[in-house]
Amino acid sequence: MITPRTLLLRLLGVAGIVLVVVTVCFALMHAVPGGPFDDGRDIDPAIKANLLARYDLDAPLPQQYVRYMGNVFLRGDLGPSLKLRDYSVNQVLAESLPVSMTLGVCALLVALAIGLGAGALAAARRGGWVDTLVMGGATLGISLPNFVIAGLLVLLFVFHWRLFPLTGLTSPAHLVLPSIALGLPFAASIARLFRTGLLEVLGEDWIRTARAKGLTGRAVLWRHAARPAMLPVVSFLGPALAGILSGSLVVEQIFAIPGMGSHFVDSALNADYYLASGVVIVYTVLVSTANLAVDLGYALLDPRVEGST
Amino acid sequence: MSAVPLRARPGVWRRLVRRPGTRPALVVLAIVVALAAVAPALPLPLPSEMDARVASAGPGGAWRVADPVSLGQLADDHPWAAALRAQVFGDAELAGVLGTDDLGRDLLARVLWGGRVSLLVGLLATLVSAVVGVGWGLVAGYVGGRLDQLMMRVVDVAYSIPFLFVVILLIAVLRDEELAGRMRALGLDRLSVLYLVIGGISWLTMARIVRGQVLALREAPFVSAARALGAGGPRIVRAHVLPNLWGVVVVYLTLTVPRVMLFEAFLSFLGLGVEPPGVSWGILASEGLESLTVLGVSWWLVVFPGLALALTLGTLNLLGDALRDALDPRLVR
Repeated sequence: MITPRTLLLRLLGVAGIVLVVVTVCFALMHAVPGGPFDDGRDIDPAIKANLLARYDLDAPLPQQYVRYMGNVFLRGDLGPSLKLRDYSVNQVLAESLPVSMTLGVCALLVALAIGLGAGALAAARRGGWVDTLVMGGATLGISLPNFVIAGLLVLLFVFHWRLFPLTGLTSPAHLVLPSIALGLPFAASIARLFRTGLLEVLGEDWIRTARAKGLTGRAVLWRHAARPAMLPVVSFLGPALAGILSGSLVVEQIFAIPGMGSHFVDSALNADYYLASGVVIVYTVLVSTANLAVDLGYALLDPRVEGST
Repeated sequence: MSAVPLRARPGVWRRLVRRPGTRPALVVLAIVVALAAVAPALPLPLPSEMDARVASAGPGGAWRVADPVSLGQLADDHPWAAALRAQVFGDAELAGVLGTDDLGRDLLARVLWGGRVSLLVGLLATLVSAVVGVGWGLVAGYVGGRLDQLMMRVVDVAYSIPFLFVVILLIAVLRDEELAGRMRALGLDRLSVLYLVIGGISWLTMARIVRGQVLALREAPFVSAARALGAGGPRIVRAHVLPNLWGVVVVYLTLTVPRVMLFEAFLSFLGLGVEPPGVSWGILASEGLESLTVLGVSWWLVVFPGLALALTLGTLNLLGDALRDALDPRLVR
C-alpha cells in the first residue's frame, strides 16, 4: 500500500506543478504590452490608473507576482475577474466547476460503459468479425475529433429525429449528446486497452482452472478475468479525465453549456488574466489529484503494486 | 524501456502490407494527400470565391465557365498550377460537387484547400517535435549522468503541465497587434507560430522513447566494440546510434502526425488556429456546426469536413499501429 510519506511527497509534487503552471500563466499574461484594459478604445488616463490600481496591476511585476502567489497558495483566493464585473474568480468557478464536473463524470461513465462492453465483446469473440468490427470502430473513434462526433450527433438526433434539445443546460436530457460526444473517443481507447488486457489474462492457468470447475464463459470473463484486465484501464483513467476536461473546452461551446471550458476560452480571448489563470490552476489541481487517486486505486486493485513511485 | 534495441528488420514492408487494412489505408491516404497537393490545378472555384446565387446549395455539381477574376488571382498566387489548369481544362470548372456554404463558397474546393493547410501544419509541427524530441532524448541518453537526470526531470514536470490551456493562453496573447507585429518582423506569420507552438509541446514522449533507445544502444556490444576501436563520441552517434533509432522514430512520428493535426483542428475550431480567410478542416468543421439552425440544415457542411478529418486521421493512426507492429516483432501476437 501507499505509505503516508509517499502520499505527502506526491501532494508536494502537485503543489510544485501548480507553482510552475501559475508562474507560466503569470509570465504569459504580463507579456502583453498593452494590459487588459487596452482594447483599442481611448480611456481617460486617470480612469485607467484607477482600474489598474483596483485590480492590483499597477505594482511592480515582482510584487504583483508575490502577492498573487500568496493569495493563491495561502488563502485560495484567485483574484477578481477583470471582465465579469463584480464577480471574483472564485465565484465564477464555484458556479461553473460543478457544471463541467457533471459533464465530465457523465462522459467518463459513457466512456467506461461503452469501452468496457465493446472491449469484452471483442475479446470474447477474438478473431471473428465482431472483433474486427469493434477494433476498426475503435481506431476510427480514437481518430475522430469530438467536435466532428458532436456535429454528427446534432445532425441526427437534434435536427433529423428531434429527440434531444440542442443548447443550454436546463434538464438532464441536455447532457446526453455532449456526454456522448465527449466520451466516445475515450471509449475507443478503453475498448482497446480492455481487450488487450483480457486477452493477456485469458491465457493464464487460473483461468483454465476456473473453466475446469465448470464456470460459464461469462462468469469467467467478468468474475475472474475482468479485475486484473482492468488495470491498464484504471491507469488510463487519469489521462482520460485530463482529456475529457480539455475536450469540454470545445463541447461546452458547441452545446452552449456554461461550464469552466467556455469561461476559459472567453477569458483567454478577452485578456481576463485572473479568470484564465484561475481555470488553469483548478484544472491542474483536478488532474493531478485525479492521477494520485488513480494510483491509489491501482494499488487497491493489484496488491502486488508497491506505493514506491 | 526496452533492453534490446529496436531496429529495422528485413521484411518490414512485407509484414506491413500483409496486415489486413494497411493497403486500403495507404491508398486512401495517398489520394487525400495527392488531392490536397494538386488542389490549385484542379478545375474548381477558389475557396474564398463567394457566389450569392448558389448559397447553401446541396451537393450536385455542374460544369461552368470559371470566373476570370478568380483565374487571375490563382495565376498570381500559384502560377504553375494555374498554367497547368489552363492547359488541361481551359476555363471550365466543376462547381458545387459537395455543395456550397451560406456565402456560396464551394465546399469541395474549401475541403481540398483546407486539407493543404491542415496537412502542412501537421507535417511541420511533427518535424519540429521530431527535431526537439530526438535531440533532447539523444543528448540525455548519450551523455547520461546528472544531465540525463535533469533533462528527464524537466520532461516529467512538463508532462503534468496542461499544455492545451497554456497554448490557448499563449496564442490569445500573441493575437495582440503589437506582439504579432514583432513576430512578423522575425519572419513568423500566424501559421508558423501555430506549427512551432504545436510542435514545441508535442516532443515529450519522443524524447522519452529516444532516450530509452539510446541508453540501450550505448551499452550494446557493437557500440562497445566501436569505442574499443577508437571511435569518438560524434562518430558513434552518427554511425551507430542514429541509424538504429530510425525505426522507433518513424513509428512514433506516424502516430504524432494525427495527434498534432487534431490539435490544429481543435485550435482552429476555437478560432485560435488558422485565421479566415485561410481555411483548415478545423475551421470548416466549426462553420458546419454554426450552419445548423432551425431555418435550414446544410448537412453537407458538417459531414464532408468531418469525413475528411476522419479519413486522414483514421488512416494515419491505422498505419502507425501497423508500422509499430511490423517493426517490433516482439509485439506480434
